Amino acid sequence: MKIFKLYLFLVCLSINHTIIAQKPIEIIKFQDLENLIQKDDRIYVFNFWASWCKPCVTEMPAFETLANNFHLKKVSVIFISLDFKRDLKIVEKFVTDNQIKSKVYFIDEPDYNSWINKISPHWSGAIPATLISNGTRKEFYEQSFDYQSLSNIIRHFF
Amino acid sequence: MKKQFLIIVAVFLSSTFGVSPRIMAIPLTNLPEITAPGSTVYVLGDAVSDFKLKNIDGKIMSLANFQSAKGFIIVFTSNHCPFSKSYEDRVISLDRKYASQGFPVITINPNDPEAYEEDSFANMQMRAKEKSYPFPYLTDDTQLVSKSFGAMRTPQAYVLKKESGKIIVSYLGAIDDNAQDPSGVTKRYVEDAVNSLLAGKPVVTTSTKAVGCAIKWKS
Repeated sequence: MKIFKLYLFLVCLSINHTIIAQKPIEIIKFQDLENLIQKDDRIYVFNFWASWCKPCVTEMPAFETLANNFHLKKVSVIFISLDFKRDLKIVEKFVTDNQIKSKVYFIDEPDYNSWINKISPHWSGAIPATLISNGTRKEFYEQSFDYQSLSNIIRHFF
Repeated sequence: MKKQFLIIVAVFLSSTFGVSPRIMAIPLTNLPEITAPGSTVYVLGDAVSDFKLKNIDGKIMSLANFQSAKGFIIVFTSNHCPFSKSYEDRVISLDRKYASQGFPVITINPNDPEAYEEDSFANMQMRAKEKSYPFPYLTDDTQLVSKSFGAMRTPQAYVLKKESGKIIVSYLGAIDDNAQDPSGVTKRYVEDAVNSLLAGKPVVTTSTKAVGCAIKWKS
């Protein structure tokens, strides 16, 4: 019985641990995103996505591979979720289940017209969309990527 | 709320099911999703051509069916898209408010049902019945009408007005400024445009960008 109790305790502890270990998604405003885009210490690849968007989900591994392969070349991938705020739990589960290593932010700006033009006037509002920036140079793409095309484009910044 | 949650879960499952961590780990080579429509798309002030599209009741419908209308609220929408779902009740309200004033809502589903089973004709019929759509819900099998409008996402709205025998694009873009939460809306773009037209005034905000789900074109 004692052993069983100990076992239960350990199980509870491990469950707690996994809950704590879940990567929290930081909620940001457009101003925060703009600050990130201005950063010039690395090349930042901002991928705008949502958990319900099939082509977005399909291309995520290419971005993860990019982040992994170009880490030493100072490339970071940042996923910006455009999911609805009420779906935040779903996004968190998605990020955990798929073991997304890159930073994931949730942008809490439901009035898209107030900010999408500032990302790029060419952005129609469709996702997936990707912005690559080194602080001075910015390139915007409203399209899906595979690893090949993404790694070719990142070379523009070297 | 519970139902809403279930829908969201269903969307989540339907859109991500099959994308397991295992698949996430291998490089994928899907082709770019280019949603650019044809080069001759309607812009503000253009006269639109009438169209013939099949309604969920099986009847072919065109703008000419609405002889007494002063204009139209055309909404490209779909069954599968969370943005469309979020706007569904608001689109119904638009029709309830403006159809009697001469601006009926007409919804068009432009998606290729091969890409999204939820957007099949049978599922369109089912959804319209469940929610008692008071407006037509047309299927654009050839996607030509959607392309001529320059629709790229669902939902995407167009306010058209009849003027000396022509049907003129008077507003295009988002329905309002908060897709997620109707109580957080501060700018009602479509309503404002229709109200201006009803008052015989020019539309103030004539275009906005509509964030939504990219229309899946047939290859």
